[in-house]
Amino acid sequence: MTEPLLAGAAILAILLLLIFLSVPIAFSLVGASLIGLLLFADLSVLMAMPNIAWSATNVFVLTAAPLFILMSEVIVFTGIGKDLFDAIQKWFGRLPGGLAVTTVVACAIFGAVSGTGVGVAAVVGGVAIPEMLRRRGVYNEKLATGTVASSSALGMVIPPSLPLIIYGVVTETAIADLFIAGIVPGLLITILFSLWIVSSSWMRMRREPEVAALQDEIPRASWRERILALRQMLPVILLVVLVIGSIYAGIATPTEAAGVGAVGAFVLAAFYRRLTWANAWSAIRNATKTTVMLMFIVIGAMLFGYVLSMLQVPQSVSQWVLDMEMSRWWVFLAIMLAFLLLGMFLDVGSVILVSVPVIFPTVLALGFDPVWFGIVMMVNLCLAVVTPPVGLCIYVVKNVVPHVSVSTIVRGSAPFLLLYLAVIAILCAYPEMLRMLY
Amino acid sequence: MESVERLVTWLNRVGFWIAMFCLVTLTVIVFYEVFCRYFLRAPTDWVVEVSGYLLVVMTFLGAGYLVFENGHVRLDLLNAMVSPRVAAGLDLFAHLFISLFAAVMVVQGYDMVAQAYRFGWLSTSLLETPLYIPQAALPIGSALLLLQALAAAVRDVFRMARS
Amino acid sequence: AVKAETVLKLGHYYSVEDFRGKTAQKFADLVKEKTNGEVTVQVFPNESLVKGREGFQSVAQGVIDMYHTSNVYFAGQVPLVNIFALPFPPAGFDDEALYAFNADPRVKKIFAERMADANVMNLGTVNSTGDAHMYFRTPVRNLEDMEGKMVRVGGGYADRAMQLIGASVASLSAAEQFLALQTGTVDGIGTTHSSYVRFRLDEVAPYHLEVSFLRIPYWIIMNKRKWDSLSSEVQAQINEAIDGTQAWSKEHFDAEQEKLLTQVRNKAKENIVISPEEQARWEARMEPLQALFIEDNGAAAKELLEIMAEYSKK
Ligand code: NA
Ligand code: NA
Repeated sequence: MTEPLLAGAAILAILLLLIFLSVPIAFSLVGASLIGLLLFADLSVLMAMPNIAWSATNVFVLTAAPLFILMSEVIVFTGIGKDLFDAIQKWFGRLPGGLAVTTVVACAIFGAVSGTGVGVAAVVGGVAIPEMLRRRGVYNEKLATGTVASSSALGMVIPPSLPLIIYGVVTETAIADLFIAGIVPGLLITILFSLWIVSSSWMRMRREPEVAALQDEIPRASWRERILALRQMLPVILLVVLVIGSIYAGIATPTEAAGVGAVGAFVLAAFYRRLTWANAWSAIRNATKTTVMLMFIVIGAMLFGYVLSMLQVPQSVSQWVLDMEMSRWWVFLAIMLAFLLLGMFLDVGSVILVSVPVIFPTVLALGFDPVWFGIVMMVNLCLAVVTPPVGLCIYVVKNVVPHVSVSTIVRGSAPFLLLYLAVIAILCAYPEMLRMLY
Repeated sequence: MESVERLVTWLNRVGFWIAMFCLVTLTVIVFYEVFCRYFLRAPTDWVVEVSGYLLVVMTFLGAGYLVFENGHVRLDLLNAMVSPRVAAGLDLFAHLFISLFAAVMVVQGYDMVAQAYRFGWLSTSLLETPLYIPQAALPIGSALLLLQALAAAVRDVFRMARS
Repeated sequence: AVKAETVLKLGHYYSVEDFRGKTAQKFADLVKEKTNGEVTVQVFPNESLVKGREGFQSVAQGVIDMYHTSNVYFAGQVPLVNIFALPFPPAGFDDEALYAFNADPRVKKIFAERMADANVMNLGTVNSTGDAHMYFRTPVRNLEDMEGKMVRVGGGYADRAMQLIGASVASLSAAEQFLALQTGTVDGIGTTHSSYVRFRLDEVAPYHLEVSFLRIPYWIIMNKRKWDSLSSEVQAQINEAIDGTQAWSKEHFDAEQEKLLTQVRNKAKENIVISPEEQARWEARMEPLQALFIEDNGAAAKELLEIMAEYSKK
């Protein structure tokens, strides 16, 4: 083992220890970075801290997160979201896991808007999780939170996607090709997730009669009721059209679309006479709290990434994988494992920026298609937003339902994580499916 | 002692209100930019830049109050298993850790801001914002965070003594 | 006895494959060679350690030892570098003149003084942007077509220039420019050949206006305290490495530019060349900028402009 790998292992161990000792995640990251600097570099690098904190937060593209979070809080506090789920209930409520399936589809649609999992987790999670938990018994905490946390990453694969743009720029791969190639896997993941939810819910109902009884209590809606329910869905549908439409009509950039959505949510709430000073205040208050919490984890992750990068850890991990001189698919497997590992501790953008330049020449040399590899990597990195300790979507979900533990959310995500891996396997077996649309 | 803690918490609450105000401002100006560019075909030269600054201010001025509200997410595994006394000890450890980070940020952040001020550094944009203004949020916010974390640490010590 | 090895961290924001990325690596290799391995330059590409925007401040604070960057990136810290951001550089001010201008002792002294305050120094010029052209979603053939166009040119004086031409300036992050052009959120962009090819902007901005409006040098800047801590022998070796890098860059850059321009022309749907008369009309609109540059920066700015004029005549 080379020295950077040892240093990396030591810093990771310190990080895990701090997290275990109940130090907040953000400060565990900062602390592990500080101790890492003390051990392996000189303290002059302390000067880097404010600089990194500044450059990590002074980023326009990041403002999409607070704006989407605010939009979600408005939808939740004004009850518009509850209306939506009542209506959906009338259509799909009798389907095993119907609300969870709807949640996955909602994540895919919002994923088409935003490239960041955090925004999607806030918008969909804020509405879907409380509604699923109101039907506790049919939907447990694991399913409700796991569905949202793991589906929220879908937007990184479904275009437009900022991480795919970063990959395209770093590797000089056509961004338009990457976007088109992302559509089919995005749909495939959506379908697989839905099938899994329906089948597992159905099996649970067969196993546990009391769940089946609860499910049977959900009233069967008549077609008349269903059609009428569409009106209840109107506000949220309008909002989705507004946000997505503003991007594709060239009115707003994806970041700005979040602002359009937040203002739109306030306007709709006012139009439906749901907006009061009290709930506006609560929405802004909660959105601020979630944003500050997230941004501090981002700062911690950036600082941690800086230290790892300075000690050449990700580069060494990548190089180590390449030096093992294995056959083509073993190298591929090792690369995928390295991404999983790096994705646990770094944010998606950092993983791409520090590891892809090292790995990419080998990927090409082994004869892998750059577009295919980009998409496979992105599916892999979908896991990064739900793998602790740096899994931002877990913490967004945690803030939606503070009483649910982080470990419940992670366990709830586990089956979906396996499905992501299954999609990678499918893409390896049938690479031509990416070319279906171009 | 308690009145000092109340004062610290009040200061941080004010910081949090400013953070909330930043979020509202951010929402309004991003929407304003879209409006100006698409409908008036005259984009502003300041919204993108100011948005970044608002995010910085929001993050740092809101951090201390989050300590008061236990809003910084953490793994509540060990905490739940140990005696109240040990749990208070763990909290003390965490709060001292946060204090350490905040103290470094106050000192180093002050240096960063002082440098930007002394040399009159500006942002590289049409707006030419003096960088020390938005950067000042770092040491100021960190000072608030430091006070709140220390106040929480003192409370943890009393909790340990009591249990 | 084995001498203690010195490691210097050099950051930049290009990919490893980009010509500027290769230049940084060349410099690192040359330093190793000239110092017989005594000094290692560790290269951090792709903003993997420090972002381009933060390059200068990070070097000033010693967060990183060196940064390879377009010098207008720190126009906020050293406003005099805006001389390179004045659009339509004087006729004859080509890459050769640009390097010579940067190496002129008077010019070096002026910049060195401004940067020394902040504990930063310029090791030397190792690259240039070459010509930067403009690209649009719809054809732009003259000044009139520019009226009301929404463009991204990357800040500072370039933004002012666009406003003088009658366009409006949109600020976007580099990550969003592709999408913004695709959906029509903006109408055009001014950028280097390399970025046009690399970001695949031909897919979204197919009309290539061959108007050269900027030529910006790339410097390797360094923390001055770190530099002073090196022995005079090592300093001399690093200076040799800079000269070697510059020579290498001069030798290969023209061919690289030529290759990229061919690629740009092949990729673009239409290549629009404007007549010298039309170009003169654009340049005429720029006059207020020089005055503004002098007004903002005083006597030193005036002196720099005079020296620049000397080099354009040669
Ligand atoms: Na997306
Ligand atoms: Na992760």
